[in-house]
Amino acid sequence: MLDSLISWIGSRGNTRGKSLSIPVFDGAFKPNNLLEEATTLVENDGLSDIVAGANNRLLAACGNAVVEVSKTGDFKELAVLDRAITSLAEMKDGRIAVGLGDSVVIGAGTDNPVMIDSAGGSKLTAITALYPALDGGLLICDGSKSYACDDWAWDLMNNCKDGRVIAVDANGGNARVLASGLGYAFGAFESEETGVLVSESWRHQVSQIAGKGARAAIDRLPGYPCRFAKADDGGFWLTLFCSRTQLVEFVLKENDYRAEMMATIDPRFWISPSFGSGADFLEPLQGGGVKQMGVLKPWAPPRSYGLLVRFDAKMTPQYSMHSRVGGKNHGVCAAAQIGDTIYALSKGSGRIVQMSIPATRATLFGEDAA
Amino acid sequence: MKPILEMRGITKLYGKAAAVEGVNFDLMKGEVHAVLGENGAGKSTLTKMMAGVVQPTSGEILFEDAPINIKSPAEAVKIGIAMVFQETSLVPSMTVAQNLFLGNEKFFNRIRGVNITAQQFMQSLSFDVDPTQMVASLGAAKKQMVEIARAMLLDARVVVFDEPTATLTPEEKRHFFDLVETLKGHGVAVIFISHALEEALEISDRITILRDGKHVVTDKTENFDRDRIIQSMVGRELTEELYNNKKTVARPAGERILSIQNLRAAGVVRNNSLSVFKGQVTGIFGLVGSGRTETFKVVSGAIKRNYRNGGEIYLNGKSVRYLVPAPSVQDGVAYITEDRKVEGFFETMSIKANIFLGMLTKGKSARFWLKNSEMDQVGDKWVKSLQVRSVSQNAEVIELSGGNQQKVVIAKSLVQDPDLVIFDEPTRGVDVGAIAEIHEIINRLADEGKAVVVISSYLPEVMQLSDRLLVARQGKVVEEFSPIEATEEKLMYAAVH
Repeated sequence: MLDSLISWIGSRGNTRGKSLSIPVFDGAFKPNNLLEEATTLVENDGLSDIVAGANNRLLAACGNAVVEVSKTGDFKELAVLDRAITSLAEMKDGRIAVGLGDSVVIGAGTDNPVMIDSAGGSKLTAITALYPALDGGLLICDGSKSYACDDWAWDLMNNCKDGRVIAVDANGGNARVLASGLGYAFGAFESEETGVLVSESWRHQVSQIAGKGARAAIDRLPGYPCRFAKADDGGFWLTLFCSRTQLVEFVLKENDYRAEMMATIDPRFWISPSFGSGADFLEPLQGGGVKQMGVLKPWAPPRSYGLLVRFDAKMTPQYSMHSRVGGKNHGVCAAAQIGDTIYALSKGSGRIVQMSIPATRATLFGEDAA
Repeated sequence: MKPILEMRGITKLYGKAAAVEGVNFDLMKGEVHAVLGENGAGKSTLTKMMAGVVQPTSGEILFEDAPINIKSPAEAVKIGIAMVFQETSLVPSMTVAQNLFLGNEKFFNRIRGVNITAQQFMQSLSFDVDPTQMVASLGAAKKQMVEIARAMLLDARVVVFDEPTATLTPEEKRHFFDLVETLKGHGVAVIFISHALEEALEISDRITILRDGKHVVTDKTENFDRDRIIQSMVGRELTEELYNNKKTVARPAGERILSIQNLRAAGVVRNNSLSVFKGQVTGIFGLVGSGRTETFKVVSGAIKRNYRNGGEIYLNGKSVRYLVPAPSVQDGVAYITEDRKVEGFFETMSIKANIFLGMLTKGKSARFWLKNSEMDQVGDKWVKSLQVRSVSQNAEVIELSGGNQQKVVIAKSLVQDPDLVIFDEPTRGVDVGAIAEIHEIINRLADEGKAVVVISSYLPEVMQLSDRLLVARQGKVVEEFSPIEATEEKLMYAAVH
């Protein structure tokens, strides 16, 4: 009787007794070291996105340039822009689309590029991801209305939920806001089976565009979902740039603490998720990798993490590759499958790493599964 | 060597049915003699006659060549025969020390003295039990330890252990085996009834096998192997050897049906997190006290999680907090208890009434009129489906063997058509024939796409069944293994260290 009463009071918005809990890495998310042990193809701090292009080409955005990455890791420049590129896509007709922070250029490197800098009556702010739509157009993720791409941590710490996903046709016209009010739109995907998906990093979910809004299709992810990559045999790869921790969840509930942290501390040293860690001793709880008396502190929450997950066409997670606490290949924010090889971009280490999919499956599920 | 105890042509009739029929049995001084057989083979009846719990209908019992007529357990203890029962016979509202000395109290008892003596005695047996603790607050394993200690305290010359290791963890089992060795060293003869054949092969000197109340074979242990024992016990070769096939292919995970996040409950579940997926058997291994049972009792509403910081449970993506079991049953959760005699069924009700009760629990509204024909129909269907063997449909559950009782408990849950089925120690106290059938039920459920959880302390079982193996230690899941990478050593290391 008392329990029922207390539960009823709790359900009226009273948060007393509520728990601060986060999903666990188990099942398909079972940790391993595959991402950490992956072969490094190329290392460059300017890398910001990768995609699989036509004819089995691996394309990357590096600084101001769009490059083709050869199998030996050499760059071949395809286009140079006047600003740093924040996202990249190859459209169905082969043209390259790039995000430049607050605008999108379709046909980069051609004589007739098309620029888009607004949609739905408002300016674009943070072009975090682009994906070629099935109809030949382009899906654009405008992560936040309030903060630019580089200021994503401000967006999280201010609890902003004003991201958008926008569709444009092949010529960059007919811009339609497919969903707004997203908790940081950081990746889009479209296929016959799944429809349009968008990852909402701050809500830890992948949402499916339905009607004029989005509803959760994959929820309670153990990390911050990021960009997608198409998988050859159905489904997709989802990158998660960092794992969730109770510490960050706690900080997100403590308004006064956050306000003071934002006012007084350099954003590099905030208690917030990070693409990488270990670069500076001032970082809080550096990846849980601090050793005391030669012993790794197991309880310290990881500041950064590397995670790449394979989902099937029914959006069920199949398996995942990890770079764990103490590793380097953290902050995985883009992936591309070419044949039997999966490439992942680790923003934390500035590396593109490659893994053989059959070998990965054999390691995880035995030789028969390869 | 002369036998210390001998039974000649022993028969025990219940009405017209013979529980034990013309059995000859002898026990040498200082030997460990294993008595094996399926449930209902007559092992317990045979040993109960030695301990004076039941009287033989005909036949003769000799103790050191002298015929004896044991009329009561007290008389048997006086002679030097003590029995440690399968169901503990301790008084729950008394302390461990009081239970140890129950019936042998001095006229004036000094509580402190009793506690100290009990403490010293328990220590001499390497049993880690606080003598001042109430028995009701002890777990099954510790109750068993007290039971064993009480038999030892009575200075018995013949000790009968009826399923002593069923509730013990692997480490505690090692203690028990050491204890048996010590007894043997002191010339005490030990009779050991067990369903765990490996244990019988490991610690016994001779093995006697009974089937349907009749003596099948007695021979030295070195002349037996697992196959010969099973064949003698069931009178047939089992089509598929239990536990001998390592699982090489796991079922792929389906949709996540249950997600437990940072659960805290009952003082033993500490920040536990895990997920369960459809179409898979998720095995949970751990030592007694690792919080496995309590975790899933919280899921099923049998116990409550901590009110503050108790964590979250998501069933089919929806946050749930069950205060009683009924809503969890209605939401498709079935918890099949480890303690079937206390929590699993109404022992004096019929099989079909028990099964029908399960179905009534699933109903969202109370029903006033119940149809006998509906009960018969539901009962018949499930008795047939799970092959519950009994004299009649109207038989009371208490009359069934352990394996068939377990099938009734399973039927009572499966009749609810659950999406998530939690088996807690599904084959404890169940004979080998029924184990194979219960395993088949578990696999069938997973193949049908249901989410199945198997909590087991028996490593080969959990390894044989599971598509995912989770190891619990000190109140939380600490490691996950796929069946391909799992070995007994790895699982045990994770459970202990």
